[in-house]
Amino acid sequence: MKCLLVAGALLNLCWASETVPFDGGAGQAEKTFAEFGSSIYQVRIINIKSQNLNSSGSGFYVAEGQLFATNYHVVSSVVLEPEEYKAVVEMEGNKVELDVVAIDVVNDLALLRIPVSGTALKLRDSIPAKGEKMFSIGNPHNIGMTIVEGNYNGLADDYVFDRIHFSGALNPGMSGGPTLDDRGRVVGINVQTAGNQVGFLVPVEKLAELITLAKEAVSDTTEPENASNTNVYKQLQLGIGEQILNATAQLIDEMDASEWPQEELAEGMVVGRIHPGFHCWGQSNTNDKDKITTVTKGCNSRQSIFVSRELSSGYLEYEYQFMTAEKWPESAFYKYASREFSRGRPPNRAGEDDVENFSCINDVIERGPGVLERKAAYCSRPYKKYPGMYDVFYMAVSTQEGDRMLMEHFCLAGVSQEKANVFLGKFISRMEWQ
Amino acid sequence: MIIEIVSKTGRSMELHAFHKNRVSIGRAYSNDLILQDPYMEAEHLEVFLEADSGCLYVQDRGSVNGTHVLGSNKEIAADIPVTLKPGEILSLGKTHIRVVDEKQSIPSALKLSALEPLFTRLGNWWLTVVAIVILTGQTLLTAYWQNPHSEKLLRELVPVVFLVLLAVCYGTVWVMAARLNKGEGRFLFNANLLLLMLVVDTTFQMLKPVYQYNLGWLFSGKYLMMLLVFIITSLMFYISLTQTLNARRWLAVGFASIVGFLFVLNDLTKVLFPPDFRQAPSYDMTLVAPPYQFRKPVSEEKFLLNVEDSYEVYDQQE
Repeated sequence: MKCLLVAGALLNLCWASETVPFDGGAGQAEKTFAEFGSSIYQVRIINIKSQNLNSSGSGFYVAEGQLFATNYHVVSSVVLEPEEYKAVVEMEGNKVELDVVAIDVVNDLALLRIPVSGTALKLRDSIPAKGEKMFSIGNPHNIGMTIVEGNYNGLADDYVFDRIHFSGALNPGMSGGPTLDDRGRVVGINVQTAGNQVGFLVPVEKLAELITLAKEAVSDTTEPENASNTNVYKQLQLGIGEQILNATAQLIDEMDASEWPQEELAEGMVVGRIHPGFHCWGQSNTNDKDKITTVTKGCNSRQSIFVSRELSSGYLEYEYQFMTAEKWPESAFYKYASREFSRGRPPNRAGEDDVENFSCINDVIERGPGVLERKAAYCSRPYKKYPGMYDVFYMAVSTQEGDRMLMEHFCLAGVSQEKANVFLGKFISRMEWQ
Repeated sequence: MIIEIVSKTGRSMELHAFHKNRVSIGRAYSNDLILQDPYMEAEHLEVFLEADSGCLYVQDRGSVNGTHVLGSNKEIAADIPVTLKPGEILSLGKTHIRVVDEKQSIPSALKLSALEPLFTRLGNWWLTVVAIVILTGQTLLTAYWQNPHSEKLLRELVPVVFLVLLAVCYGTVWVMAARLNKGEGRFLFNANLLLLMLVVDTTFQMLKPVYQYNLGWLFSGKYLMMLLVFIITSLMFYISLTQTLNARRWLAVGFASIVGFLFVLNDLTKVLFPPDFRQAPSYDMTLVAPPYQFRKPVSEEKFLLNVEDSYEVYDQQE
């Protein structure tokens, strides 16, 4: 087996040296691909009932060649609906079926057990220099294994969950494939693209952590192999909720521990950026015809955690709006505001199968007697499959200032009741008039 | 002796009074009561009153189709005088008659409703004018509140024209119904009634946010409006029915509540059969200007406790 692999590699090398004239540093991509391409395969998700391809991604051998790494989003349908989907890798015409053994939904990673062992890629443990040349390998759009050259650009700013910014053309289907340095060590796992050579990778240390966890789990289980796949998948499914809850709890704890900066918003004072990973934005609009001016600013965690095609979670956002009207009778202005502020929606994707309906409480609140009276609404909806996890929605609008209003709002997806209340308790006491 | 031509249900359609004790009925011109029913004999029936006993007798004069007592299969034997029970309706061909003795007692007069003076006033033309003016004002104010800087406020008058037309139609329908029933039309009365109800309804609609802000937590404004619409429409139809058609009270109540129910049926269906899943939270952000805010605010701490309590719903579900 080993011989064959070596023979194949040699052949490839010969072929490469024949077609490309040898000139020093050129042909690094070819070398990388020739040397490490045999550890990287396309992961095909097959729909069991129709026996056809449903989706595909890429993946590679890690950990002594017994495990196979890819993105969680590549194999999510296998984890969530094991009776409908299976993951398969084609090796020299043979279809090899893989079982998912560990997942990390927050970092979008999955480890699969593969019955045919292969050459594991080495993981790099030092941080590359900015600009270092990298090679990303995967099978974009199911058109064949491809290698893409690009540069390492460090961790992306404004990201709550660490992602490496890789300037190279990542495309759908390359998900789960590795990005290697010039010595063939894995630096990151292809996960996402923002188009135009802006790609994102999961840092390899997240994979290393998952491998350690998976090995522990494998050695802990006394069950014989192939014991009961459905049970393993049940455990993995429940783990999704815990992982999301842990991630959001950690974020909220970090926010709770930090000092929240006060910032101006037109005539009000509101909260600025409260987490280094948050992305903040602003917008204003003066309508000459209606004579209504709005100034909006807000921050969000930008990333949401992919669970399935129907469900994303772990997204946090808050938003403030100042609104003032010129020459509007009060009744008309408040009517307008009622309409404007009744359109709130949760930012995350969630359907009937995953969450209940929101249930809301509505109140009129004040900070002290007569101080910042607001109409407030708080809504929450539990997840159907992940106990103790909620999406939370809060909005309050000031009601005492005649022709001007301040609105505060936040949405937390995939949080526990306890953490949501910690956040609400701090958030509710911040906004004020200048 | 009085002979009534009645409908199948016994409602009187024609009255014929005779100052004699023997009356003949048939198609022939020699009869006392000449009826043009082709299924009737030329000389079909004779009715006579025995002056001493006050008993009524009928005698079929050998007709082809016979004479029947309505509501039973009893056929009156030909050429023999037969006693007639009070109130019995006879079928001759396709005509139904009831023979009434002059001395028969009749129910006492119905007392006019205490609201009658009000109802009389409802038919005044100036009320029409007032209602239309108020309705126009309300519509314009609503449109103005919707967008005070709109240049197309006058466009909002189009719905008022339609509402006035609706009132005209409503009045006309009742006039026609009353005419069929040989009653007084009361066109303005009914048209005004509809206009007034529209004014009341618009007023409620305008006050709804104030209610919702202050008391919505007690009983949702949405349900209250449904209740009010039901009451208003039912009341309107009830008054029209009783005043224009002199309909019996329970009949009017039944019919009016069915009509009122139809008006809220759409909203009611939405409440009773809500969509299984709503992506957006249905929270209440109804705001009203400070002078209309009477609800006592709770402190932020109390609100946090309320939020805490709101999760109890989920514990109960599990």
